[in-house]
Amino acid sequence: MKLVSLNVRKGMFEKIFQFSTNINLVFSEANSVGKTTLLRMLIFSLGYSIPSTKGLDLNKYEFVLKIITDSNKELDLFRFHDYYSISYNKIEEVFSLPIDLYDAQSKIFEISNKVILSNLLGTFYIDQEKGWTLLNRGKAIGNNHFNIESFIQGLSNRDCSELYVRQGEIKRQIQKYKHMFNIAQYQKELNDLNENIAYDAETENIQKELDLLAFERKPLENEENRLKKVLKKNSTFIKYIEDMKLFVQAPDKSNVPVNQQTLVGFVDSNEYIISKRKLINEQIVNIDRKINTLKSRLESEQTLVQMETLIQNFDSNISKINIDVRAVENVLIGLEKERKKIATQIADSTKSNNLIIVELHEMISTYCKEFGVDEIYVTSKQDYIFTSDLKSLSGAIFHKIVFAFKLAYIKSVEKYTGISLPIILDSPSGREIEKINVDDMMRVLERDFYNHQIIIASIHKYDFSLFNTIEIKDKLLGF
Amino acid sequence: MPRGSNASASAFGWEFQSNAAIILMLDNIKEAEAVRVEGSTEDIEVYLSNGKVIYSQAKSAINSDDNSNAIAKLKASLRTLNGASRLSNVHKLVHITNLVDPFNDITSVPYFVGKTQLSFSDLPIVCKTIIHELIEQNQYSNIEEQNLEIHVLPFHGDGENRYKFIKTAVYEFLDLVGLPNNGLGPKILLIWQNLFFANASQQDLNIRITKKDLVWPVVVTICENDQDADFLNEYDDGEIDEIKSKYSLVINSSSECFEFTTKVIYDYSNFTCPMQKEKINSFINTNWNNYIDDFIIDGVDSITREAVIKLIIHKILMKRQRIATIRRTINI
Repeated sequence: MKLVSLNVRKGMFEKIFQFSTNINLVFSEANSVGKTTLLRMLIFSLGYSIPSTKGLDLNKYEFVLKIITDSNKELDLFRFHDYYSISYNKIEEVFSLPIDLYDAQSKIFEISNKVILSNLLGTFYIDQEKGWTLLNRGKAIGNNHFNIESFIQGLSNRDCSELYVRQGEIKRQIQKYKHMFNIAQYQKELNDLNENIAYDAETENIQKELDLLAFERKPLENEENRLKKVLKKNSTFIKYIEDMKLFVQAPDKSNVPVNQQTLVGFVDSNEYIISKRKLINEQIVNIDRKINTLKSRLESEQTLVQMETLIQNFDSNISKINIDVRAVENVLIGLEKERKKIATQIADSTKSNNLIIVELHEMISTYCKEFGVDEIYVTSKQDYIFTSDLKSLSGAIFHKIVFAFKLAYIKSVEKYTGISLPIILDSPSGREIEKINVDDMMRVLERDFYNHQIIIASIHKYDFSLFNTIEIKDKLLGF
Repeated sequence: MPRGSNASASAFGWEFQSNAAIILMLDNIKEAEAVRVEGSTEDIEVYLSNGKVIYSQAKSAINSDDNSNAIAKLKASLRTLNGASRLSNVHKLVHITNLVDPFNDITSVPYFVGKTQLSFSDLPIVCKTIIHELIEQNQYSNIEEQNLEIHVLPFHGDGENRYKFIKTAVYEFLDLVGLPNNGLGPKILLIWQNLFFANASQQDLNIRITKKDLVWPVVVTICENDQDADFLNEYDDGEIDEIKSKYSLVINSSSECFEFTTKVIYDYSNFTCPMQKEKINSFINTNWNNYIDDFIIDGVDSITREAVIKLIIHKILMKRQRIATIRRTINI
């Protein structure tokens, strides 16, 4: 895929940036003139959600990005805020972002695999801020994630969606039980400090009865609301039919108007629901009567405990909650086991007999060697690519390893999907990296990725044989 | 509604009146259109579809075998019924009581064993004479004796025993309209008792309990507690209960949404089956998959979805069948 030009408009003002299909250098001598912003505009124009840079809200501009897809289609991608359209041969297709993001991007990148699409940005775009520390899991920019397991699953067409859903459910349950556990710990603290508050037994009993009645009432109330909605839906439906003012012919050739009286089954259906709702309402009224009686009793029975502070009020409510700590701990242990089991299943599903892992590891090792990264940093074990040990990496070494990973990702995408992704790099010359190493990186880029479009933003000029310069002198747009 | 040994005579009387009204309505369910408790003219007024009215006085005692005031109660009834007799729409005049000896005459007691309903002409001579004398002595000249009936409704004791005969009347009603009992008789009775008791306290005398007000809660109660159909035998009990509980929202909403129910009813009406008794089950088993597209539920396996769809169709058709039977039987 090649980005041809970017047109940026606001009101009467517009500016066009042209790109070469080979190497492009977005250059400025000074920092903070808008190089990063231009790259982010490109990503924004591809439909991604991007945080705006200082002083420039992307949602206030119109963008038209002309691209040529891998199958040589010329597409015009238009974006204004969440309104997105793709035009091809003067036929426009409209999308609403972010809901339709995958549908739109499937046309841009010409693949339909959602798992790959959801990880694509993390392969070809390296942002100035977080991009150079995104190795195999994290955010490419904003809320756009990259995950190597998911990426490999997508490339190898291994579907773990059901496992991920289950994993999500378990995580939520663990959170809830942890909250319960924390409450129990807090209760223990209160007890230890003798700050739990004893209530009059009768008051407590009345309160328990009230809690029970409230518990009984809730599902009835929900059911009553549900019935109201069904009645409304049916009413809307019948109005729609009646508004059509239809007639049907009876066997005796007379005309019978179609309305709620003549529509077979409608009156009965409605009567049924109304009756059901009445019965539910009577039960609710009954419960409310009991609640009111109990509340009056409570007022007269209650011993006056002055709740002077919110904390005292909070503590007294916490003391009343009945939590079986042992049971909660056991449930948590069970859930953790299940979470680990699912994580293992996902990992096994991804890793077992997967040639892509072997290929990625080989490419990463080769590139790292070429960038002068010592072998102790990149082990020979193939599952190194799933490493979470980032603490031991820092500075220039980390920078180079990240770059090696990216190049391997891009090559894999090309091999397994046929897409030649544009490579967009913001400030490849990190603070600690030496020029010679950056030159090595650029040399590899030019050598092995000559069929990819490359766009680099930097205050340095690199030793490319052929490149297009987009120089930003003062301000990126001027409007 | 006060029940039990501490009911005062007045509260007992109110309760008897409401239950008597239920009985009178059920006894006349085919011809009746509405009933009013504490009507403008009498204690109980049953309005018939031909425009006529059954006017009734309800007289009771906590001790049903205390007949010391039996004649006084009869006299009070006749006085009020005499007033109603001036109206042109009288169908019957009824004196309904829980006294086992409503005429304070031991020789007539055998005529009033259990729940009894006797027209004037069926009464023993001693009872006819008592009535005749009361009418003459008090100049209740508007009463036409052939319109008069004496009803005895056993209503005494504490707890559930008090409602024995009324429950029987409820079961007979359910049987008449082809509805299964399923142990729901007491629940239905309670619904009616609350309805009639509330009607008695409504000051607007135009507010009546119609036949529909009476019958629809019964239809709802029965249909919402219907027994499972044969097609569910292929599932475990526990499985079905879980499905019903988990998907109750979908099942209830779908079986009440007219846009969907009309589709099912239409298809069912065009479905032929040699055995009428088996028609519903046969339709469900052969046609449930025509409605798969109406139920795309994420994360549900095919077996569960099949069960949910079948439950919904069953509910729709059973409801329709029950309503049709009731309409036919009691002229709603």
